[in-house]
Amino acid sequence: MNEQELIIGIQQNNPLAYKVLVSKYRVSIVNTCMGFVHNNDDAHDLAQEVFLEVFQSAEKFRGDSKLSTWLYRIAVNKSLNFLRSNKKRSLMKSIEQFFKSEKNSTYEIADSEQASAEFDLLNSEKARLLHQALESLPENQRIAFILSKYDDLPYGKIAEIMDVSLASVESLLFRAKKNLQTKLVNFYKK
Amino acid sequence: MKCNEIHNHILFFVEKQLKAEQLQAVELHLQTCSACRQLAEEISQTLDLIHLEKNNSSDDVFFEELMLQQNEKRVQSASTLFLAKSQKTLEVLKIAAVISFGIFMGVLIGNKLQSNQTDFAQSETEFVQELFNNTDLAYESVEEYLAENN
Ligand SMILES: [Zn+2]
Repeated sequence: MNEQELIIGIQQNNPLAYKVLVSKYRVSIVNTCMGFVHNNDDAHDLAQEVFLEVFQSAEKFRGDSKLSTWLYRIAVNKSLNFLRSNKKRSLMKSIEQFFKSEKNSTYEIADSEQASAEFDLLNSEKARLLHQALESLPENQRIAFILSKYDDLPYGKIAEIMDVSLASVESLLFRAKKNLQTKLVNFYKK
Repeated sequence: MKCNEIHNHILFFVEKQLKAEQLQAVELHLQTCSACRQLAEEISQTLDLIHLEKNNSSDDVFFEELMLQQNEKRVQSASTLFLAKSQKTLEVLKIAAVISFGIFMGVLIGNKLQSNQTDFAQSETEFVQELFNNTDLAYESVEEYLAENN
Protein backbone atom coordinates (compact mmCIF):
# COMPACT_ATOMS: atom_id res chain seq x y z
CA MET A 1 0.00 0.00 0.00
CA ASN A 2 1.68 3.25 -1.09
CA GLU A 3 0.98 6.62 0.51
CA GLN A 4 -1.71 7.59 -1.99
CA GLU A 5 -3.54 4.29 -1.51
CA LEU A 6 -3.15 4.64 2.24
CA ILE A 7 -4.73 8.11 2.22
CA ILE A 8 -7.63 6.97 0.04
CA GLY A 9 -8.11 3.93 2.27
CA ILE A 10 -8.31 6.09 5.38
CA GLN A 11 -10.69 8.51 3.68
CA GLN A 12 -12.95 5.53 2.90
CA ASN A 13 -12.77 4.25 6.50
CA ASN A 14 -10.98 1.11 5.38
CA PRO A 15 -9.91 -0.82 8.53
CA LEU A 16 -6.90 -2.28 6.72
CA ALA A 17 -5.65 1.22 5.89
CA TYR A 18 -6.14 2.21 9.53
CA LYS A 19 -4.08 -0.76 10.61
CA VAL A 20 -1.29 -0.07 8.12
CA LEU A 21 -1.07 3.57 9.20
CA VAL A 22 -0.99 2.71 12.90
CA SER A 23 1.58 -0.06 12.59
CA LYS A 24 3.75 2.23 10.49
CA TYR A 25 3.66 5.30 12.75
CA ARG A 26 2.52 4.24 16.25
CA VAL A 27 6.00 4.02 17.78
CA SER A 28 7.14 7.32 16.26
CA ILE A 29 4.04 9.20 17.36
CA VAL A 30 4.16 7.76 20.88
CA ASN A 31 7.82 8.81 21.05
CA THR A 32 7.03 12.34 19.89
CA CYS A 33 4.37 12.68 22.58
CA MET A 34 6.70 11.09 25.14
CA GLY A 35 9.29 13.78 24.39
CA PHE A 36 6.82 16.36 25.64
CA VAL A 37 4.93 14.59 28.44
CA HIS A 38 7.48 12.01 29.76
CA ASN A 39 4.78 9.65 30.91
CA ASN A 40 3.80 6.38 29.21
CA ASP A 41 0.05 6.61 29.85
CA ASP A 42 -0.28 10.22 28.72
CA ALA A 43 1.87 9.58 25.64
CA HIS A 44 -0.28 6.55 24.78
CA ASP A 45 -3.53 8.53 25.17
CA LEU A 46 -2.20 11.46 23.15
CA ALA A 47 -1.03 9.16 20.35
CA GLN A 48 -4.53 7.64 20.23
CA GLU A 49 -5.99 11.13 19.91
CA VAL A 50 -3.56 11.88 17.08
CA PHE A 51 -4.71 8.86 15.06
CA LEU A 52 -8.37 9.54 15.81
CA GLU A 53 -7.98 13.06 14.48
CA VAL A 54 -6.33 11.73 11.33
CA PHE A 55 -9.18 9.25 10.79
CA GLN A 56 -11.85 11.90 11.39
CA SER A 57 -10.34 14.62 9.26
CA ALA A 58 -8.73 12.52 6.52
CA GLU A 59 -11.25 13.97 4.04
CA LYS A 60 -9.70 17.39 4.53
CA PHE A 61 -6.20 16.10 3.81
CA ARG A 62 -5.17 17.75 0.55
CA GLY A 63 -1.80 16.13 0.11
CA ASP A 64 0.16 19.42 0.20
CA SER A 65 2.45 17.66 2.67
CA LYS A 66 3.24 14.06 3.38
CA LEU A 67 0.95 12.03 5.60
CA SER A 68 3.75 11.52 8.12
CA THR A 69 4.40 15.28 8.27
CA TRP A 70 0.74 15.82 9.04
CA LEU A 71 0.82 13.14 11.76
CA TYR A 72 3.87 14.65 13.47
CA ARG A 73 2.34 18.12 13.36
CA ILE A 74 -0.83 16.90 15.03
CA ALA A 75 1.27 15.05 17.64
CA VAL A 76 3.29 18.20 18.45
CA ASN A 77 0.16 20.38 18.69
CA LYS A 78 -1.76 17.92 20.84
CA SER A 79 1.21 17.47 23.18
CA LEU A 80 1.71 21.21 23.60
CA ASN A 81 -2.01 21.74 24.23
CA PHE A 82 -1.96 18.92 26.76
CA LEU A 83 0.92 20.54 28.63
CA ARG A 84 -0.78 23.93 28.60
CA SER A 85 -4.02 22.59 30.07
CA ASN A 86 -2.02 20.50 32.52
CA LYS A 87 -0.18 23.57 33.70
CA LYS A 88 -3.47 25.29 34.47
CA ARG A 89 -4.67 22.17 36.28
CA SER A 90 -1.50 21.83 38.37
CA LEU A 91 -1.70 25.51 39.26
CA MET A 92 -5.21 24.93 40.56
CA LYS A 93 -4.01 21.84 42.41
CA SER A 94 -1.17 23.71 44.09
CA ILE A 95 -3.60 26.43 45.16
CA GLU A 96 -5.85 23.72 46.61
CA GLN A 97 -2.91 22.10 48.35
CA PHE A 98 -1.89 25.40 49.84
CA PHE A 99 -5.14 25.40 51.81
CA LYS A 100 -4.81 21.76 52.88
CA SER A 101 -3.00 20.63 56.01
CA GLU A 102 0.77 20.22 55.88
CA LYS A 103 0.64 16.55 56.76
CA ASN A 104 -1.79 15.85 53.98
CA SER A 105 0.27 17.57 51.30
CA THR A 106 3.55 15.82 52.15
CA TYR A 107 1.72 12.53 51.91
CA GLU A 108 0.37 13.42 48.47
CA ILE A 109 3.78 14.45 47.14
CA ALA A 110 5.34 11.19 48.32
CA ASP A 111 2.48 9.31 46.72
CA SER A 112 2.75 10.98 43.32
CA GLU A 113 6.49 10.49 43.28
CA GLN A 114 6.03 6.81 43.83
CA ALA A 115 3.47 6.64 41.02
CA SER A 116 5.72 8.34 38.46
CA ALA A 117 8.80 6.33 39.37
CA GLU A 118 9.50 4.79 36.00
CA PHE A 119 13.22 5.00 36.43
CA ASP A 120 15.36 3.77 39.28
CA LEU A 121 16.37 6.08 42.09
CA LEU A 122 19.66 7.16 40.58
CA ASN A 123 18.01 8.02 37.30
CA SER A 124 14.96 9.76 38.68
CA GLU A 125 16.97 12.81 39.71
CA LYS A 126 18.62 12.87 36.29
CA ALA A 127 15.26 12.35 34.60
CA ARG A 128 13.73 15.26 36.46
CA LEU A 129 16.68 17.43 35.53
CA LEU A 130 16.40 16.43 31.86
CA HIS A 131 12.66 17.12 31.79
CA GLN A 132 13.04 20.47 33.51
CA ALA A 133 15.85 21.45 31.16
CA LEU A 134 13.75 20.48 28.12
CA GLU A 135 10.73 22.33 29.44
CA SER A 136 12.79 25.48 29.94
CA LEU A 137 13.71 25.61 26.23
CA PRO A 138 11.92 28.08 23.96
CA GLU A 139 9.10 26.23 22.18
CA ASN A 140 10.68 26.00 18.71
CA GLN A 141 14.00 24.75 20.12
CA ARG A 142 12.17 22.17 22.16
CA ILE A 143 10.11 20.92 19.21
CA ALA A 144 13.22 20.61 17.03
CA PHE A 145 15.16 18.84 19.78
CA ILE A 146 12.38 16.34 20.52
CA LEU A 147 11.83 15.50 16.85
CA SER A 148 15.58 15.02 16.49
CA LYS A 149 16.30 13.04 19.68
CA TYR A 150 13.05 11.22 20.47
CA ASP A 151 12.16 10.45 16.85
CA ASP A 152 15.63 10.44 15.29
CA LEU A 153 14.26 12.42 12.36
CA PRO A 154 16.68 13.93 9.84
CA TYR A 155 16.97 17.73 9.71
CA GLY A 156 15.11 17.84 6.39
CA LYS A 157 12.06 16.12 7.85
CA ILE A 158 12.10 18.36 10.93
CA ALA A 159 12.24 21.40 8.61
CA GLU A 160 9.18 20.07 6.74
CA ILE A 161 7.21 19.41 9.94
CA MET A 162 8.05 22.78 11.45
CA ASP A 163 7.70 24.56 8.11
CA VAL A 164 11.09 26.27 8.42
CA SER A 165 14.33 26.13 6.43
CA LEU A 166 17.04 23.54 6.93
CA ALA A 167 19.37 26.26 8.25
CA SER A 168 16.74 27.25 10.82
CA VAL A 169 16.55 23.67 12.08
CA GLU A 170 20.34 23.52 12.42
CA SER A 171 20.32 26.79 14.32
CA LEU A 172 17.40 25.73 16.55
CA LEU A 173 19.12 22.46 17.44
CA PHE A 174 22.43 24.17 18.11
CA ARG A 175 20.81 26.69 20.42
CA ALA A 176 18.74 23.98 22.14
CA LYS A 177 21.91 22.02 22.91
CA LYS A 178 23.74 25.12 24.10
CA ASN A 179 20.87 25.89 26.47
CA LEU A 180 20.69 22.32 27.73
CA GLN A 181 24.45 22.29 28.19
CA THR A 182 24.30 25.40 30.40
CA LYS A 183 21.54 23.87 32.54
CA LEU A 184 23.25 20.50 32.94
CA VAL A 185 26.73 21.92 33.58
CA ASN A 186 25.36 24.30 36.21
CA PHE A 187 23.64 21.43 37.92
CA TYR A 188 26.47 18.89 37.85
CA LYS A 189 29.65 20.94 38.13
CA LYS A 190 31.37 20.66 41.47
CA MET B 1 41.78 24.47 27.42
CA LYS B 2 40.63 25.34 30.91
CA CYS B 3 37.67 23.73 32.69
CA ASN B 4 35.38 26.69 31.87
CA GLU B 5 36.10 26.35 28.16
CA ILE B 6 35.49 22.62 28.33
CA HIS B 7 32.07 23.35 29.85
CA ASN B 8 31.20 25.23 26.66
CA HIS B 9 31.82 22.14 24.53
CA ILE B 10 31.10 19.24 26.80
CA LEU B 11 27.57 18.38 25.60
CA PHE B 12 28.75 18.55 21.99
CA PHE B 13 31.66 16.31 22.96
CA VAL B 14 29.23 13.80 24.47
CA GLU B 15 27.07 14.05 21.34
CA LYS B 16 30.17 13.50 19.18
CA GLN B 17 29.58 16.75 17.33
CA LEU B 18 32.94 18.46 17.82
CA LYS B 19 35.29 19.29 14.98
CA ALA B 20 38.60 17.43 15.01
CA GLU B 21 40.56 20.31 16.48
CA GLN B 22 38.17 20.93 19.38
CA LEU B 23 37.76 17.22 19.97
CA GLN B 24 41.48 16.80 20.41
CA ALA B 25 41.67 19.67 22.88
CA VAL B 26 38.77 18.33 24.97
CA GLU B 27 40.16 14.79 25.00
CA LEU B 28 43.52 16.11 26.10
CA HIS B 29 41.92 18.02 28.96
CA LEU B 30 39.82 15.07 30.09
CA GLN B 31 42.94 12.92 30.38
CA THR B 32 44.15 15.12 33.20
CA CYS B 33 40.90 16.52 34.74
CA SER B 34 38.75 14.07 36.67
CA ALA B 35 36.10 16.71 37.47
CA CYS B 36 35.41 17.31 33.76
CA ARG B 37 35.51 13.56 33.10
CA GLN B 38 32.85 13.11 35.78
CA LEU B 39 30.81 15.96 34.31
CA ALA B 40 30.96 14.41 30.83
CA GLU B 41 29.79 11.11 32.31
CA GLU B 42 26.84 12.70 34.15
CA ILE B 43 25.71 14.59 31.05
CA SER B 44 26.04 11.48 28.92
CA GLN B 45 23.92 9.46 31.38
CA THR B 46 21.31 12.20 31.49
CA LEU B 47 20.95 12.35 27.71
CA ASP B 48 20.89 8.55 27.53
CA LEU B 49 17.64 8.61 29.48
CA ILE B 50 15.96 9.72 26.26
CA HIS B 51 16.62 6.27 24.81
CA LEU B 52 15.09 4.66 27.89
CA GLU B 53 11.95 6.75 27.54
CA LYS B 54 11.39 5.70 23.97
CA ASN B 55 8.70 3.18 23.27
CA ASN B 56 10.06 0.13 21.50
CA SER B 57 7.44 -2.43 22.44
CA SER B 58 4.99 -3.92 19.99
CA ASP B 59 1.63 -2.97 21.39
CA ASP B 60 -1.34 -4.87 19.96
CA VAL B 61 -3.79 -3.33 22.42
CA PHE B 62 -3.13 0.10 20.97
CA PHE B 63 -4.94 -0.62 17.70
CA GLU B 64 -7.87 -2.40 19.36
CA GLU B 65 -8.38 0.48 21.79
CA LEU B 66 -8.14 2.93 18.94
CA MET B 67 -10.80 1.13 16.92
CA LEU B 68 -13.13 1.07 19.92
CA GLN B 69 -12.75 4.82 20.33
CA GLN B 70 -13.17 5.36 16.61
CA ASN B 71 -16.44 3.39 16.59
CA GLU B 72 -17.69 5.28 19.64
CA LYS B 73 -16.96 8.57 17.93
CA ARG B 74 -18.73 7.46 14.77
CA VAL B 75 -21.83 6.37 16.70
CA GLN B 76 -21.77 9.69 18.54
CA SER B 77 -21.46 11.75 15.40
CA ALA B 78 -24.12 9.65 13.65
CA SER B 79 -26.58 10.18 16.50
CA THR B 80 -25.92 13.92 16.62
CA LEU B 81 -26.43 14.00 12.86
CA PHE B 82 -29.72 12.09 13.26
CA LEU B 83 -30.81 14.48 16.01
CA ALA B 84 -29.95 17.51 13.93
CA LYS B 85 -31.82 16.04 10.94
CA SER B 86 -34.94 15.15 12.94
CA GLN B 87 -34.94 18.61 14.48
CA LYS B 88 -34.79 20.10 11.01
CA THR B 89 -37.65 17.86 9.87
CA LEU B 90 -39.68 18.95 12.89
CA GLU B 91 -39.10 22.61 11.99
CA VAL B 92 -40.25 22.01 8.42
CA LEU B 93 -43.35 20.18 9.64
CA LYS B 94 -44.18 23.04 12.01
CA ILE B 95 -43.89 25.60 9.22
CA ALA B 96 -45.98 23.41 6.92
CA ALA B 97 -48.65 23.08 9.60
CA VAL B 98 -48.78 26.85 10.12
CA ILE B 99 -49.02 27.50 6.37
CA SER B 100 -51.76 24.91 5.82
CA PHE B 101 -53.69 26.24 8.78
CA GLY B 102 -53.34 29.72 7.33
CA ILE B 103 -54.58 28.59 3.92
CA PHE B 104 -57.43 26.66 5.48
CA MET B 105 -58.53 29.66 7.53
CA GLY B 106 -58.11 31.99 4.55
CA VAL B 107 -60.29 29.79 2.39
CA LEU B 108 -62.79 29.39 5.18
CA ILE B 109 -63.15 33.14 5.70
CA GLY B 110 -63.17 33.85 1.94
CA ASN B 111 -65.89 31.30 1.38
CA LYS B 112 -67.93 32.63 4.23
CA LEU B 113 -67.84 36.15 2.82
CA GLN B 114 -68.90 34.96 -0.62
CA SER B 115 -71.68 32.89 0.81
CA ASN B 116 -75.08 34.55 1.40
CA GLN B 117 -76.14 31.88 3.74
CA THR B 118 -76.59 33.04 7.29
CA ASP B 119 -76.31 29.73 8.94
CA PHE B 120 -72.62 29.62 9.71
CA ALA B 121 -72.65 26.06 10.99
CA GLN B 122 -74.31 24.83 7.82
CA SER B 123 -71.99 26.73 5.49
CA GLU B 124 -69.01 25.42 7.38
CA THR B 125 -70.20 21.85 7.07
CA GLU B 126 -70.80 22.37 3.38
CA PHE B 127 -67.43 23.92 2.90
CA VAL B 128 -65.65 21.09 4.66
CA GLN B 129 -67.56 18.58 2.58
CA GLU B 130 -66.77 20.53 -0.58
CA LEU B 131 -63.13 20.66 0.38
CA PHE B 132 -62.92 16.93 0.81
CA ASN B 133 -64.90 16.24 -2.34
CA ASN B 134 -62.73 18.54 -4.39
CA THR B 135 -60.23 16.06 -5.74
CA ASP B 136 -58.54 18.68 -7.93
CA LEU B 137 -57.10 20.27 -4.84
CA ALA B 138 -54.73 17.41 -4.34
CA TYR B 139 -53.04 18.07 -7.67
CA GLU B 140 -52.83 21.84 -7.37
CA SER B 141 -49.82 23.70 -6.11
CA VAL B 142 -50.33 26.30 -3.41
CA GLU B 143 -49.54 29.12 -5.83
CA GLU B 144 -52.12 27.93 -8.37
CA TYR B 145 -54.67 27.49 -5.67
CA LEU B 146 -54.12 30.97 -4.29
CA ALA B 147 -54.17 32.49 -7.80
CA GLU B 148 -57.49 30.84 -8.52
CA ASN B 149 -58.99 32.03 -5.29
CA ASN B 150 -57.88 35.66 -5.70
ZN1 LIG C 1 38.43 20.32 33.86
